[in-house]
Parts: sequence; C-alpha cells; structure tokens
Amino acid sequence: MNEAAAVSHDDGEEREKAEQMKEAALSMKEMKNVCLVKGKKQTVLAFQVYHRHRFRMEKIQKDLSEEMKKRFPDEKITVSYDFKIFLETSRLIHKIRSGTISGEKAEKEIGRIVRLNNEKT
Amino acid sequence: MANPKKTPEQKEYEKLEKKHEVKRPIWRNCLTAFWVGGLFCVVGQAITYFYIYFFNFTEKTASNPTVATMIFLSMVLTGFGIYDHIGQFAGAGSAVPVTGFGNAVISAAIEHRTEGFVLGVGSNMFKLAGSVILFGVFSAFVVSLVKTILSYWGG
Repeated sequence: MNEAAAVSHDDGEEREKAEQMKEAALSMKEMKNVCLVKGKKQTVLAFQVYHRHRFRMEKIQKDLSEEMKKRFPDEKITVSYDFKIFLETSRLIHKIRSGTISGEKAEKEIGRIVRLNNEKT
Repeated sequence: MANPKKTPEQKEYEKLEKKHEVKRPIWRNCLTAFWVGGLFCVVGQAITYFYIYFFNFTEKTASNPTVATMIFLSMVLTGFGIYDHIGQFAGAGSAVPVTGFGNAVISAAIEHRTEGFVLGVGSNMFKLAGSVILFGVFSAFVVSLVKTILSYWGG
C-alpha cells in the first residue's frame, strides 16, 4: 500500500511533488509501504519496513528524515514509523480521495497527526 | 555447623532416594513456559492493536494501557481462581510476564484477608510484589545510568 496525496490541488503540481516525495522514500531498500500526505505548511510521511529491518526502525527513520531534508529543503516533513501514524495517514488519504473532507479540515487533521506523533506518554 | 562428611548410611539413603525420586521434566516445563508465555504476549499485542485502532494511542503510548489491562485481567483471573491453574501448568510462563505481578498482589491479598483489611490485606499485599517493584526500579536505574554514561562517552 503505497499512497500519496496532497491537500490542495490533489491532481496538480502539489500532487506531483507528493508523488516525488513518496518515490524518494520508497527508493530506500528497507521500505515496504509508504503513506504520505502533503499539506500547505507541513507534510506527514509514515512508513512500514520489511520485517527483518524492524530492529533498526529508529535508525531508518533518522536516515529517511535526513534524506528528505536534503532532497526537499523547503518542506517541513514529519517522518514516522509508528503504526498509528501510518493508519491515520492512510485514512486521511482515503478521505481526501473520496472528497469527504474539506481542505481546511484536512490541514487540521495533518496538524493533529503531527501532534499525536510528538506525544511521549 | 553441620558435619559435611556423610555416613555410609546417609550415602546409601541418598542413592535410594535418587532411585525413587520422580524426575522433573525440565525440557517439557521449559517448552510449556515458552508457549504459554508467548500466548500471553500475543494477547498483549492484540490489546495494543485494539488501543491503536480504536483509541488515540500510538505505538509508543499504547504500551501503558496495555500493561494496565494485562495486570487487571490477571487480577480478575486470580480472583476467580483460574490463574492458579494456569500457574500450575505453565510455571515461569505465567509468572515472568507482567501478569505474574498482578497474580502476586491479589493472591497475597486473598491469603491475608482473614487478618483484616489494614493489618492483613494492606500490609501483606505487596510482600511479594514489593520486591518486584524495588528491584525493577533499581535495575531500571542502573541500566539507564550505564546507558547515560555510555552515550556521554560515545558522544
């Protein structure tokens, strides 16, 4: 399940950039699935790795985060291996695709996912 | 101090004892403990996914309610006398996971119930679980100290 979506202009330039980001993440050999949602201010990238790489997920996340910063320096990207973030991102993509969520609400949802990712306890 | 040298009669008795003693099935016990302990872990993982799917918990934060739920379940099972049977069957497989902690607390509370709530249940409830908490906290402190020192040296 590799999906990417952009909140504004999902069929245009933004969407293309989201696809580029997704492909950049998928170029790592450890990647199994990638879900990405690009908003106006920030982007959420959630990924799953092949099972044999699960012990190194923290390191993979760090490497991917650095790689994305290098390739897309203007974007604010939140990278996460957390399953909940993957699940929420995937749900948001389906809502955007089906048109059941407005752009403003989707932006808020991205903010909520980022806050959820930063929670410690 | 007791005399370390054994008399010939004692040695003879030891031989006889060994001959009639029922041998512990160590490998079978290990295997049972392994799969029952693993089964507890499967239940724990299922509860973790339940919290992730249906509530606002991430993989990081879901571990706290999962541990609480597992302890609560083991406490209920101990209260109904089911966990005793599991403990008899699985041994370390039921004692080592966090469910063993719940069992230790509640079984002590049930045992000392007749001595009253304050001096019986209150003072004896953590007699066994207290050492688990103490050494758990202390070993966590030592491990974090070692990790801090190593990461400080490592940069």
